[in-house]
Amino acid sequence: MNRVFFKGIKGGTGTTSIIANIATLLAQSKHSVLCIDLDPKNELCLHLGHQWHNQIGWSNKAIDADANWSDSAFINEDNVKYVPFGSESTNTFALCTLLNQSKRLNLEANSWLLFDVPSHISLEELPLDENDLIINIVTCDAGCYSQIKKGHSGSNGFYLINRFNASNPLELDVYQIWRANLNQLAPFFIHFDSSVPEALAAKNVLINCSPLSVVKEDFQALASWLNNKRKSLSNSL
Amino acid sequence: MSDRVLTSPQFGISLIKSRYNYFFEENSYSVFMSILLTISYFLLHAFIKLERIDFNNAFYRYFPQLKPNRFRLGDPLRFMIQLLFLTLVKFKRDSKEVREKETKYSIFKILPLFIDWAIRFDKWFTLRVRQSLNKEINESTQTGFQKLTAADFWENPHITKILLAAVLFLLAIFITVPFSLEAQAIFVSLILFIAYSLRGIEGPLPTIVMITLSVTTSTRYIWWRFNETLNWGDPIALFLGFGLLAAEAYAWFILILGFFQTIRPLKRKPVKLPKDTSSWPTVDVYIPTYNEPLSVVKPTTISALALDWPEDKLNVYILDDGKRDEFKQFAAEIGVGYIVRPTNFHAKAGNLNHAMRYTDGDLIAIFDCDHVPVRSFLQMTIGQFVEDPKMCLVQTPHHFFSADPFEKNLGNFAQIPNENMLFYGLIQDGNDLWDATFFCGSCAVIRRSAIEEIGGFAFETVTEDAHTALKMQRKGYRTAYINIPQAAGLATDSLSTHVGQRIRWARGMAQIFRVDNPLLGRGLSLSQRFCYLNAAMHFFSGIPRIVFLTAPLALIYFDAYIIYAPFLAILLYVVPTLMQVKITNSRIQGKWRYSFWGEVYEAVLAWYILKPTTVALFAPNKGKFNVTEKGGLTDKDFYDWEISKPYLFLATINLIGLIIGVFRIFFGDPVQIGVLLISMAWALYNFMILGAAIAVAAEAKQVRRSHRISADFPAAIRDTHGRTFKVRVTDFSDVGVGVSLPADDLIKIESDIELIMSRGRRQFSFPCKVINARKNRAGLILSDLSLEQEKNYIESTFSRADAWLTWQDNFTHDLPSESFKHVRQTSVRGFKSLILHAPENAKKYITKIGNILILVGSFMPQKPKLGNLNYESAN
Repeated sequence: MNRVFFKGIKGGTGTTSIIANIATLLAQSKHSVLCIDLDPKNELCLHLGHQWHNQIGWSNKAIDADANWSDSAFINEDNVKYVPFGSESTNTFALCTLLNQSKRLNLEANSWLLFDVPSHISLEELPLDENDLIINIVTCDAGCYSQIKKGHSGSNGFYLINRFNASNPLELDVYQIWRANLNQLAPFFIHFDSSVPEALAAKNVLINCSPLSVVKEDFQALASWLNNKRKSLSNSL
Repeated sequence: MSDRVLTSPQFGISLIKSRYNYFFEENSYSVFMSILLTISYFLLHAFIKLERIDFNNAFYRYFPQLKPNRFRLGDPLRFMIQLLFLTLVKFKRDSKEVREKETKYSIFKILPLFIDWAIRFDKWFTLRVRQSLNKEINESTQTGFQKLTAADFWENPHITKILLAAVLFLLAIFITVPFSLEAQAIFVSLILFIAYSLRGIEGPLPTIVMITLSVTTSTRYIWWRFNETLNWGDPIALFLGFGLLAAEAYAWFILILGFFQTIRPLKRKPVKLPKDTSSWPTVDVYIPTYNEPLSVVKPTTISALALDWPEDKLNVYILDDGKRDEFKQFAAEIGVGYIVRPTNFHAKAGNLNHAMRYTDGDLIAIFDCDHVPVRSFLQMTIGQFVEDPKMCLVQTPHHFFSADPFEKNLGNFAQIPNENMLFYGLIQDGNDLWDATFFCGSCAVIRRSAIEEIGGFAFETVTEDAHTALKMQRKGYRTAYINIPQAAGLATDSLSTHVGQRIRWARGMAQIFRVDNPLLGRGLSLSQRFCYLNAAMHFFSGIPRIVFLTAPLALIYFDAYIIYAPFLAILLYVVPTLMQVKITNSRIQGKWRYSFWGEVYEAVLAWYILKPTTVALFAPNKGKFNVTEKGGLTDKDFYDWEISKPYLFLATINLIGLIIGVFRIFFGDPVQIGVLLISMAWALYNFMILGAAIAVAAEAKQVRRSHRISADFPAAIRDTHGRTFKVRVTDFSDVGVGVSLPADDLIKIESDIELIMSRGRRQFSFPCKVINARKNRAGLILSDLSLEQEKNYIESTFSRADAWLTWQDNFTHDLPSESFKHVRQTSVRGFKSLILHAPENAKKYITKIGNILILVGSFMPQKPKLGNLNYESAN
C-alpha cells in the first residue's frame, strides 16, 4: 500500500482536482486506487462524479475500532474508489484514528491510497510513516512563496507546481527562484488550463474531458514519477 | 472507339452515316478527317475483325503513342513502326519478383559467395585443427586467417618494405606493360568484375581494394595515353591532343589525391569535459559582421549567449566593421561586447585581429554573423582542447537551413546531398585523419595562444581562414574536425553570389599557393601537404572542365584525332576506366555526393573560376575580399542570361557538333563511324551536363525572407479560452512556427493564442496569431516579442541541441543509374526553361522547332506499358 498525501500549501492551489485526475489516471492504467477526502469542503467526490445530494462521508460515521467508515466508500465508472469527507465537523483525534486504520485496510498489494489534505491541517500532527509520500501543491505566486519562505511545515515532502502559466513574468521569476533553491521541487509542473474547472462543472476530471490537453501529459508525468518514487521507496526498505 | 458504336446493328447508308457522325460529332474531328476515318474504317473492316481488338485494355498499352479517339494522320506509320519494334524486341514485365530474381542470381554474386565460403572454410578448418589438438574453443578464438593477418611479422619494417616493393612492382607491371587488345579486354573485364562484385560488400577492406583497382586502371590509362595515343604527324591534332591529355592528367592527379585524402575518414568523436567546471577554459565568442542587417545578427548573438558554458567563462562580442549605432545599442541591451575599429584594413582577418587585442579568453569561437550555434556547441568541441594542449583548431560543419542556389533553382532541397556535403561530410573527416583539417572561417574554435604565435589571423590572402590553419599547422599545432552540425546558417541565395563566393575561394587558394605554398616551407607532414595540394588543385578545375566539355568536338569539327588510336582500343581503355572510377567514387562519396552531380557543379563554376585562379597564380596580390551577400529576395522567376552565357555557348557548339556528327555518319567515311560514335556519345553527355547547368541558372523566385526550417519537437498551445493542447512544431522561422495539432479544427484562424515551448526544464510562452489553419495544421506568427521573449524564442528553436542532427541521415546511398536519370531529367528541364524564358520573337521559332522535334519523337517506338495488365492479376 502506498499512501500519498496531497496538501495545498495554502487554500485554492487546486489540490483536489490534482488528486481526482491522478486517481483516475492510475485507475485507468489498472492500478487499485482509494482516495480519502480529509477536507471539510467535501469537494473531491464532485470531481469523481458523486451524486450531488449525497452528503454522507466518513465524518458522519463514528470513528471507532471497527473502522465502520469504510462502508461509506464509493466506486465510480473509472474504478476509482473514494471516501467523501461527509458533512460533520471533525477533530484531530478522529483524523489520527482514520489514518491509523487506513494502514490496516484490506486492499490489494501495491494499491494507492491518496489523501486530500486541506491547507489548515498540519501533517506533523498526524501519524505518518517514513514511506508515506507528501506532495505539497503550490502555485507560482507571492502567497506560496512567502509560505515556503516562512519555513512551511512540509519540509519533508515534495513540491509540485500547479497552474503554471509561462506567459506571466512573475510566475516565471518565482519558478526560476524555486528551481534554483528548492531541492524538493518536482521536475515537472501542471500547466494552467481552463479545462480543469470546466471539467468540474461537468462533474468529471480533465483527463476524461480534454484528452488532448497538455495537462493530461503533465498528469502522466506525475503518475510515472509517483511510480518511480514508489519503486525506489520499496527498494530502500 | 466505343463498343456500342462498333457493334450496333445498322446497315447501308445509315451505318456509314452513323460512323461518320461518330467521328465528326462525338469526337469532333474535322470533316476531312471524319471522311477519311470512315473510309479507312470500312476498308480495314474488310480485312481485320476490329471488334475483336481489346481497345479498352491491352491495345493502347502496347501502342502508347496512339491515343484513344485521337487519330492523327501519321498513326498508321506509328503503328507499323511500333509493330516492328514489338516483333523484334522482347520486353520483360518490370515486376519486383523478376528484379529480385535478377539481383539474386547476378554473376556479381559469385565473388561474394566465394569469399563467404572461404570464411566458412577458415572457421571450419580452425575448429577441426583445434579439436584434433584438444584445445578449447570459444567466441574469442582466432581463426587461422585472423591469426595470420594479426601476426607480428607484418609489423616488421623489413617485411613491410618488401611487401610494399612487391605491390609497387606488380602495379608498375600492370600499368606499363602494353597489352594486346584481347589482353586489355580480359584485363579490364576482370577488374570491372571484381569491382562490381565488391560493390555490395560493406566495410573498409573492399573500398581499399576498389581504390587500388581504380588507381591501377586509371594510371594504366594515362600511361597508355602518353605513350600510344598522340598523333605526332598532325600538328593541330597533336596540340589539341596534348590539351586533352593535360586535362586528363589533371583529373587523374585529383583522383589519386582524392583517394588518398578520403581513404579512411576519421569520424572523430567529441571528448568529454572534466567534471570540475572550474578547470574549463574561458571562451570568447566572436561574431564578425560588416553589412548584414541586425535581423541576421540577432539570432546568432542570442544563441551565442545561450551556449551551455559557465557564465563567468563565456564572453560574446560583436565585431562590427559596419560601425552601426543600431548594433551598438543592441549589444548594450542584450549584454554582449561591441568592438569597432577605426579602419577596415584586412577585412575579416583584420577585424578578428583587432578584437583579440581587447579580449583575453583562452579560446576563441568564431561564428559568421548568420551562423546560429546550438547550445551544445562548446560542449562538443572544447574537450579536444582540454585533452590535447597542442590542439589549435576544432572545426564543425557549416550547415545551411536554406536552399543553396542549386537546390533552390532545381527544386531538390533536402532531396539530394548538396554541393557542400561532400566537403563537410567526407573530405574534412578524411583531412582529419592526416591532421590537415581546414579552418572554414566560422563554426570553429581556435586556441588564442596558437594564433598569437603565428602573429594573428593571416591577412595576406582573401581566404584568411584556410591560410591561418595552414600557418598554425606549420608550427606543429594539431587540428580536429567534428562532423556533428552544431550551427546552421543561410546559404547564398542566388547563383551569381554563389559563383562570386566560389571565385573568392578559388582566388584565395591560388594566392596561398603563391604566397605560402603548402608544398614548400617547413613544418608540414607529407600527407598534410597532399591534402592542401588537393584542396588547391580542385579550384584549378576550370580549364580541364572546359577542355572536357569541348574535346569530342575536335574530331567532329576538325577531324583531329586527339586520341590517336583505333576505335576498339579507345573503347577498351576509356569506357572501363571511367566505369571503374565512377563506381569507386560512388562507393566512397555516395552518401554525400551523388554520381554525375559533381560534373554539373564543376560545369557551372568552370568558366568563372578560370580567370581569377589564373590571375592569382601570376599576380597573387590582386583582387580584394568581397563579402558574400545573404538573405536577399528574388520576387519573381527569372533567367540569369548573363551568368549562363558560357554554358549556352558550350551547349550550342556541342549541339551543332551532334548534328554535324549525324550527317557525317550518313555521308562521311565509313571507317570513321566508330570514333565518330564515341565522340558523339561524349558530346551528348556534355550536352546533358550543360543542360543541367543551364537549369541552375533559371532563378526560382524567393518570396519568404525568413526561411522555414523543418523540425519535429513537442510544444503546447493555449487558446483564447485558456484551454491547452499539445502540439508538435513542424517548422519554424524567426517570425513564426508551423504546428500540427492533435485533432482537426482546434483553433480558429486570426485568433490570438499562446505558444508554449521549453528549453530544458525552463518553459516559455509566446503570444502568437493564427495566420492559417487547415485541418490539423496551423501556421502561427509571433506577435511583437520583447527582446527577452525573442531571446527565449531563439533559445527554444534555433539553439536546440538536436536541431540539425538528423539532417545528414536523410539521404540514401548513391545509385549511379538513378542519379544519371535525375541529371538527365534536370537537363531536359534546363532546356525547357530556356524556351520558357526565351525572348518573345525567338520563342515562336523555338516553339516551332520544338513541335517538329516532338512530332519526330512521336514516331519513335516506345516501350509498351506492361505494368499491371488486368490478366496479370489473374495468374
